[in-house]
Amino acid sequence: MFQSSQKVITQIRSSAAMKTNEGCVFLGPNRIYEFLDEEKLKLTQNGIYCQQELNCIMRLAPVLILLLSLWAVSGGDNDRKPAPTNALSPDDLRRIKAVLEKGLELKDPLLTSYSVLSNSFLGVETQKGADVCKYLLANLDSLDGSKIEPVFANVAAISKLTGCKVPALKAPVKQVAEKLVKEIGGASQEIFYAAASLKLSGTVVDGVKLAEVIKATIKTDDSPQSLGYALWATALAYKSGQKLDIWERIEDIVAQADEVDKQFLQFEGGLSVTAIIISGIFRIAEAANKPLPLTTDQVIKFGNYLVSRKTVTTPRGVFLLASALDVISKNKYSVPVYLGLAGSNVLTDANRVVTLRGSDLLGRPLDINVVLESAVSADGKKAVGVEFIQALPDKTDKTLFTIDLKSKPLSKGFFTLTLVPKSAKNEKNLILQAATVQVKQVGKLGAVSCRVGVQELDQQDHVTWTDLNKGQRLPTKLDLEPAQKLVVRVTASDSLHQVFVLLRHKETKREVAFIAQPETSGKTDYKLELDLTSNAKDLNYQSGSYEVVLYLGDFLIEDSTEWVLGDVQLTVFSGKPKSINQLYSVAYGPKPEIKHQFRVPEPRPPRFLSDTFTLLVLAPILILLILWAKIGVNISGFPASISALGFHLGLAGIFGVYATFWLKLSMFEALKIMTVPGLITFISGHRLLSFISERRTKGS
Amino acid sequence: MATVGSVVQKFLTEYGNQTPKKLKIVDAYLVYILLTGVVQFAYCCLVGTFPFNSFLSGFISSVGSFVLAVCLRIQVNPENKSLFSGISQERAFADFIFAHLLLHLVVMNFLG
Repeated sequence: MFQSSQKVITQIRSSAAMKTNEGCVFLGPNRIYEFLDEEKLKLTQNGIYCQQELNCIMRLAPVLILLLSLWAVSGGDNDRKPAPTNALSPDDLRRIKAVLEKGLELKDPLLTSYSVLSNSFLGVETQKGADVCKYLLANLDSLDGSKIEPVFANVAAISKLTGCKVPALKAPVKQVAEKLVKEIGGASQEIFYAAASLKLSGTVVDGVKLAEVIKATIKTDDSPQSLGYALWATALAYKSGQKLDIWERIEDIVAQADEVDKQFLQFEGGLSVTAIIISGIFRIAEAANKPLPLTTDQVIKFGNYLVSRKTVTTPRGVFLLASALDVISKNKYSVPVYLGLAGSNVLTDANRVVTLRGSDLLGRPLDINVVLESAVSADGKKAVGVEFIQALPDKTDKTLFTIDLKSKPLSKGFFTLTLVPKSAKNEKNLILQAATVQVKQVGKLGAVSCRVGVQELDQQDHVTWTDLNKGQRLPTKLDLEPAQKLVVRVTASDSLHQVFVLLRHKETKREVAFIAQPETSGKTDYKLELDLTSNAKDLNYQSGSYEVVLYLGDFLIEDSTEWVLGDVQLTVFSGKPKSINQLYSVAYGPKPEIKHQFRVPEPRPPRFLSDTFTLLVLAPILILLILWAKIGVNISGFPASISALGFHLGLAGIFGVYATFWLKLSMFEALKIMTVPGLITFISGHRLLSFISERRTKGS
Repeated sequence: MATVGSVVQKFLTEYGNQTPKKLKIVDAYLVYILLTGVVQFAYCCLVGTFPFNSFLSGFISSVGSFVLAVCLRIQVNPENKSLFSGISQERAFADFIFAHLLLHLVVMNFLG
């Protein structure tokens, strides 16, 4: 649609966005699609979108800080009581169901067993129970007891299937299990599996004996995991009135839990260790009928941690999670009540209904009523009339509640709602902790008016104004020259987060967005001055007819506006549009090949000239010969001897080697070859010269 | 007062009569070398020194040969006998040949 979208975005970023350090561009909802594909802009609620999410977050920092401060104001301070942060939602349960379905394909008996167990804790009927029952029974028959965990999982799963009866354990398996619960030697995990298997298959386990075995076992291994299984095993076989040494250990175990953010409590080792210990503590307290050795805050924090691990991907993980959440949600001591937003946190004038979810941690409905105690705005003021409103339970989904604030006037802004759950049947075990949720009330754009002016650069106070009411267009096409400024003034009844003036070239469709700055801080008036000389670069030095569009937006406004102000004829200061710096431009595809360039030889003189000089250089030889002839050189004194011949031939040989050296040989090769004529020349030369010398001295 | 012409004439006569034949031969050789060098220098001034190594080796060859020949001439001059009493004419000539061989090995290496 727009060939130059890429450039426009760059322009928006460079010219407009950077000036205000905002980075997020707001445009009317009907225009968003234009940029989405090409720049991978992220669309967030209310039409604020940015080139990069991170960028946006960085630049939305003021908003985030506002939200955080809201959080702090609403919640009070450090001694704020922890509340359940989350519960399993229908979406979570669907995802968990998909995990369990893998186990129910009847391929791995252990996975199948844990899937069946998880289903029972989640309150879901296992499909094709008869087939699963047959499969698990057959598998149980094939086990020899060398490993006790499959026996436990199998037996436990069979016991949870309706219409499926746990058979008596085979003799060798039973022997292994009984040895584990009666004799010291096994790990506490194995003891738990053995005790559970025996109990479920109808064999009575001696609680006193088991307690002794466990006491010895946890002396050698007192890791939290070992203690967790020990608690659970003891609870399984507890006989009322028996000695309960392990009870004293619970306090130490809980003290080992790590606290995170004052919201979560967890044990080193993660989900499995935490889930086992929580299961063990609740079960042993219920079995022994003692008060729960955990405070309500601790229960909530452990529950928060367990729910935060709802993304488990194995059936065994689901089993551990579901069994622990089940015991937290179904006990006579402390049951956390989760209250949170179920729908959008945006309230509009047309639809001012807050939808809440209230449930136990497994997402199951509780018998509660919910009351909206107060709504506090961002500046700490309580909204008038919004207090103690009873939430209406949803007719179909018992976990949903709605609070209709239609008749309650709320100003635009962020609000913290304080919600208090009340038990409908006065159940003492529910932890009725107040919860807070954040909502924001959005509204319509208020009254807006705009003035478009033409200002002379040399006469600052001489401005020709055209006043426009919302939606109006310029009656005439304005004509501006380089020595003039286009001034756009916006006066709004509310503060606006984003006020943009977009100039779109009529022919090229090139768009440039400018940000109108608040004119006086704290006021709701905005101003853009477009100098056709100093802003010429932003306009790419492009004169012509431009369409001027005003965009008004805010995160508290639902009807952000695109307002076409009309056309202007701009004559922009003409400079050359700068070509894009090669360093910063991105070019796709191969770059031009770089070919090696040899040095160009220097121009040589004409052949004739150099030949002439060659002859000239050689010419003096003639002069030499002539001079010598004049002087009367002769070779009458040439001695007829071998040494004379050898000397001259040797010299000629050496110069011959020199010539070859010049033409093709290397220095070392030449020196090697030269030894032969050199030696001959030396010896014969020596003999010849001494002969001549002797002859001369004799002659004289 | 003698004119320049008469001075030159006298010099030539003296040279022709009093210089030994061997020295005249060497002098003719010197003139030859000098002319060769002058021609090369003229080429360099007219055309340029490219290729520089070739020019340089040629010119060095001329200059070196000239210097060596002058040395030879000094050593074999009978008037300088007292200075080079231990050096015979043949010995001087052998030195001249050896130095020439060395010089031209370098020149050939440099010629490119």
